[in-house]
Amino acid sequence: MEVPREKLKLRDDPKVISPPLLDPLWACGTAVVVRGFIAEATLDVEVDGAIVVAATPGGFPNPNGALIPLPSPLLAGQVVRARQTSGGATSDWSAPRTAVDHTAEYPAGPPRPQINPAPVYQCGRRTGVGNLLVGSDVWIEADAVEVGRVKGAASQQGVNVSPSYGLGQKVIAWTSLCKDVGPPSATQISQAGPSPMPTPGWLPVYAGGQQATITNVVNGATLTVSRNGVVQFSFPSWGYQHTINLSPPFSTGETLSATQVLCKGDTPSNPGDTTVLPCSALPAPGVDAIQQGATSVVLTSFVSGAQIKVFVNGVKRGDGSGPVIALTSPVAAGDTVHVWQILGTCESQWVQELTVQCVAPPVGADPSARDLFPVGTTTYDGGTTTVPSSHSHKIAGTVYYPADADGPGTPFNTRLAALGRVPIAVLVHGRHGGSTSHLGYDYLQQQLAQMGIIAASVDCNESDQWGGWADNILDRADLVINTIAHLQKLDAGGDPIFGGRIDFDHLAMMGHSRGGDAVVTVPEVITLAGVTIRGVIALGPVNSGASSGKPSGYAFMTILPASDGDVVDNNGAEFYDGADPSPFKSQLYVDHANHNFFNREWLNDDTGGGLPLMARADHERILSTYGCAFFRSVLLGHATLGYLQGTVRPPAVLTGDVHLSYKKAKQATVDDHEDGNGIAKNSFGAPTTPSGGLTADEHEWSQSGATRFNDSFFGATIGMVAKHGGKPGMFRSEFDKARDLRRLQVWIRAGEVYDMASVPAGATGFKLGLEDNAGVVAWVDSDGVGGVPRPLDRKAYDLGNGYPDRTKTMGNTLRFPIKCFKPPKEQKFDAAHVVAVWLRLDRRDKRALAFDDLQLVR
Amino acid sequence: MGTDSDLTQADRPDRRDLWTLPALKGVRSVRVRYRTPRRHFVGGKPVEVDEGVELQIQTDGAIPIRALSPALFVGGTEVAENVTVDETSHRFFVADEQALSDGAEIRLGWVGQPPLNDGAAADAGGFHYKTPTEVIDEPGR
Repeated sequence: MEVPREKLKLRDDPKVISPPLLDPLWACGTAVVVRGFIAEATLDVEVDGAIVVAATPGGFPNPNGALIPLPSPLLAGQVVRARQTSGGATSDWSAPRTAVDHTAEYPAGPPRPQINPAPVYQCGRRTGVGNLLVGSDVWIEADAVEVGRVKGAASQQGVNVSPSYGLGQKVIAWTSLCKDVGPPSATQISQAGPSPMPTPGWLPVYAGGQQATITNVVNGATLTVSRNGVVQFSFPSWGYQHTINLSPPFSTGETLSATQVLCKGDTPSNPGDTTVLPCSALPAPGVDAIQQGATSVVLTSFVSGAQIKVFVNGVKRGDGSGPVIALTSPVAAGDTVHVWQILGTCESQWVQELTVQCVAPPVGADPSARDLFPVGTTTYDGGTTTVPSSHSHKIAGTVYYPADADGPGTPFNTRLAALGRVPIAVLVHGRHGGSTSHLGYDYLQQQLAQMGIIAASVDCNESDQWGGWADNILDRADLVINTIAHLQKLDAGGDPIFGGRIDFDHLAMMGHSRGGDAVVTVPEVITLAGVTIRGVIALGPVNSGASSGKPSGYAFMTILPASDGDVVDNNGAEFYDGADPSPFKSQLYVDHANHNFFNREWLNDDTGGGLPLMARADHERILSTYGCAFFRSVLLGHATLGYLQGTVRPPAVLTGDVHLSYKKAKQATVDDHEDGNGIAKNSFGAPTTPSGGLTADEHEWSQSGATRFNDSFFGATIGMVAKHGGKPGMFRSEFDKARDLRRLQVWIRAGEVYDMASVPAGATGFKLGLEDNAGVVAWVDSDGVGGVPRPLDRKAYDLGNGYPDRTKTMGNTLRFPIKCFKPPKEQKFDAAHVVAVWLRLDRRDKRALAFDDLQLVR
Repeated sequence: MGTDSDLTQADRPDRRDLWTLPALKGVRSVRVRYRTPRRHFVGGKPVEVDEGVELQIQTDGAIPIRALSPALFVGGTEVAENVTVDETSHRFFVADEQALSDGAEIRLGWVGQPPLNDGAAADAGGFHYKTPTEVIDEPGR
């Protein structure tokens, strides 16, 4: 919330400035990137306790930080820190970064550079290259001739090109670190530029600032900037946006203008103009939610070059620049944070105010963006087979794999192959008709292959025409197994691409719709030797009864589109509930997602426009990011489970629509309601006690269960439904013994119960308490840990189709860190001796809540 | 210069009606001796039978291809397992013939989604189950 600054009593201590931030460091790197400092600060860089760069001008921290050359290349294990000096104050040293041998993180060599933005144009003079290791060298070749090079690059580096590109040249970026040359970038063929050239635009420019950002820039174009009608300079840009620095600072009403041109002699674009806005227009920065324990604040919007000051409960804790400002000490849940931006002499009249939440997961790196290898593609043909329903079907599909070069049939990546066999993901489409459904996950196959996972997509299209239900699922499962068997033959038979390459001991599957049922069935029927299934993703699956419905022996994830217009019952919820949580199980219930838009070949909206949807690209981002996080965890052993647990959010994903349930093995379960001992005892065998007018009982969370609370439950488990009559209602669940929770979290699956009538406005919630052995109860509100998920209202849509209302009660897993529990004033809570957990239903709306899987989690 | 607003040549996304089913034109209940045992799934476990009751239906149009299977609802009993013979002919396999009652109304719906009993369904009021007296050998495929 933006609030006027003048009403706040913010104590701006000039001695408090933030330590800057360092990008990751690599052995042999000849530069470091420092970010988050105040504009025009001087920077010191320390290596292994010795200052090797002193008081170097940092310039402007945005948009790319300061790239600071080092006097000598870094060695593995060296520890680097940086600090800033501004306005007479010197910050603390940054958190230390250790230089790492890049082969520890990237055993097959440096990641593949990306020409970004692409494409490149004839006469282009500068190209952006991304996905680089900081301090590496980067160079560009046009038709195999080097045309530009930077030594000691940033992670996104501009490379000036001379001579400029001709038409139709093959442009490739390369990188090396420690004389280790990475794979080539994807080839870009230089194109004729747009004609006419588009007019540049500007982001808002405010008085007092010295930076301005030009938008709508053509890749490689030469920009000419004028200020108040006077040409300032011309320069090449890598494109998209370009931030320039001008002096003296801007004044209200000044005009800035830019034109762009690619080839000399061509007609430049029309000028794009802007007028400098007054200081009074400078807004507060946008700030992402802050979680207790955070040591930095992340901005979602800010003005380039602005100084950002952060106050916690009125006291200054940070002073730096966006997008990440380090704090001098961690924040606590309930703290009030104010964030203020200043441009030179212009101090915004507004500050952003927010309250630190107990749980507000930060945005992490993109788990789908690990781009290491070129991608080869091929199809396979294993002949025909007779499937269980006695039909004949071809064994066919597509495979994407890490390769030495992009394209059909290119050789398997030599360096990756030298490290050992490579894991495989097998994808299975559903029943849609047509002949191309297996091509619809090409984006996921590409992402998996470029990070080092072979990705096959099985062609089951013919089987769409046969009818069948469980029979058809068995047929699809059989086609999957036949595909694996065929790939085993290629692997064992010296196939030029796959011979000796595939690690069938690390195999995972993703199935969509009927394919989702099939991939749950495969592990129960497969008899192939040498195959170990590590994980299964069921995306919008049906549940035909072909399997036991109880996935076990592997990690399981299901993605359930809440606006599914085909599999309206979200049957994957039954799989999640039935799954063994060893090593883990995960469920994503996604509001505003339909059935089809995860598959690029399925063009129709299965809701027929009947429900509001997120864009197709947003569907794909969900499958890409969460799917890659899953596959990386189960096949590559990467630490990406946080995305599924909800401790970190993937970027550029509508995470507000994604409701996560997660359960892992070997945790202490207070109550999962599966013990058959009634509501009066929990899974510890200890008593439970309702009070304050609360009513609670155990109910089947299913469509057919005799004890279901109502028809809004679609899973296959038993949970609790509680409601209160007006006064706060309490539910106490005793432990079997006093337990030390200091290093644990309390997890509970919770959801707002749909009453089968309407979805009321506004969210509801509850409080969760812990009672110590002295009788002190400390509480956390569900609103502070992400809130209770709401039913997605689809009643009118379902009834309009002539079928019952499928609006669902669907829980997600709320995590309550122990540090967030607050005892009453002047009481002390002993987390080392906890004897009971409490639920307090205290909302005036009196809505019923559903609970399950109350656990104490490491 | 006017502004063109013509959409007649636009590439529109494929629109499908997933829910509308054709009407039943005929239902025949027969007992079939299978050339190879037929497998049903009961609670995820396969059960093989040498012969069983089939409901062989004719419709007045194609059944939409989608994730969910069409199913026959015989009274309150769902019969989902089926095979497409041609666009308008389908065989439905009865897993538990004891659950079917003579005289029960037969309606076409979607698995897990019995048609609302409002008489509006295209197949309402036509066909009723009759225990088959006829036994045939499964035809060759």
